[in-house]
Amino acid sequence: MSYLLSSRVEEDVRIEVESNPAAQILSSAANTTFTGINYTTVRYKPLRYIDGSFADKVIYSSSFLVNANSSTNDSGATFRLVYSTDNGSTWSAWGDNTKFNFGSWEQAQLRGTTLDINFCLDTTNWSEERLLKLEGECWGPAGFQVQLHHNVHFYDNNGLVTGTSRYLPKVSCRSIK
Amino acid sequence: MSYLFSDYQQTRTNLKLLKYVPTVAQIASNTTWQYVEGSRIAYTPLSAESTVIYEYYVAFSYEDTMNQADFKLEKSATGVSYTDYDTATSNQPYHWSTGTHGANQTGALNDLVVLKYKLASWGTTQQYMQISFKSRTGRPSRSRLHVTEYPSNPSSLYYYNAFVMCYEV
Repeated sequence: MSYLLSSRVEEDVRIEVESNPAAQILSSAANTTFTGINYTTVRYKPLRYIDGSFADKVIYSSSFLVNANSSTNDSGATFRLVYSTDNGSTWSAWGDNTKFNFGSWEQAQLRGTTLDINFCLDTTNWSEERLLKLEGECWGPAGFQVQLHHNVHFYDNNGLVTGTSRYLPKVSCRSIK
Repeated sequence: MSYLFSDYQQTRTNLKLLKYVPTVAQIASNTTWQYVEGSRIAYTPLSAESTVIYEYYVAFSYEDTMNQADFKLEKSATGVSYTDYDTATSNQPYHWSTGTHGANQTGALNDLVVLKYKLASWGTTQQYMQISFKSRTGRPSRSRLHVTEYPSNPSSLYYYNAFVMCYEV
């Protein structure tokens, strides 16, 4: 007897949260090629069902803090999803429209926000365990920087909070049949 | 013997997901509401007592040097003619806007955005839902969906696969 009717379900939810993240800086001078974004890595494979089939889609999600960290106006970065099938030795771009730009340009500096990234991934040819993570590169005028995970500007009643004022980065995957 | 949940009410059920792979960007009109590609879904709740969650994921970018846009949720019984989702409240709980407006008429935003609505069940009949959007009248601030842009010379466009889902809780 089945209690699931014909409904599509969402299962095997994995969520990881880094409780003490270090700040990460992407610089328009140093990071004009893609570099790994810390705390966005997750190990996952689509959920396999009792009939041998795998989930049709996997939703990859990540949430982390992005701040402009300079006085220049344009502020942003390009991010892409990459994966590894050899435990992180080599990485390949996922493709399928999982590369995007985030931020502002022309006299509109982005002071700080959380970036919530969600990709709907096809599972064709994906039955093995993979590592997935984000990579980013910084664009903008020379000297421009993007700081991740730690607040650049956070003020409490006593003024600017220094130290480790931060937003905890999250990453998750879930299977959908 | 069943190994299924004994406390089922907090589980997402009856999930429906549709993925939209764009081949062109969609530019907002300054004058008329326009259907947002990939946001339409026909959904039938299994229970008249449950709550339905509607979620839509899309890339937001710019066609002009600023970008402001307004979004709203709409519904239809047949999928042919759509109305505001809730006329009793002038649809105000289902409005949303985003974008930038610079003092020097410049300053545009690239972003990935998510719209989420919690809807009271309408029974166990099928209902269509979609998002419409529009840019502000009279301003050079048209937005663009399904792509983000690398603003160098020449610029690069990156498409993003939008997706819409509904489920019950």
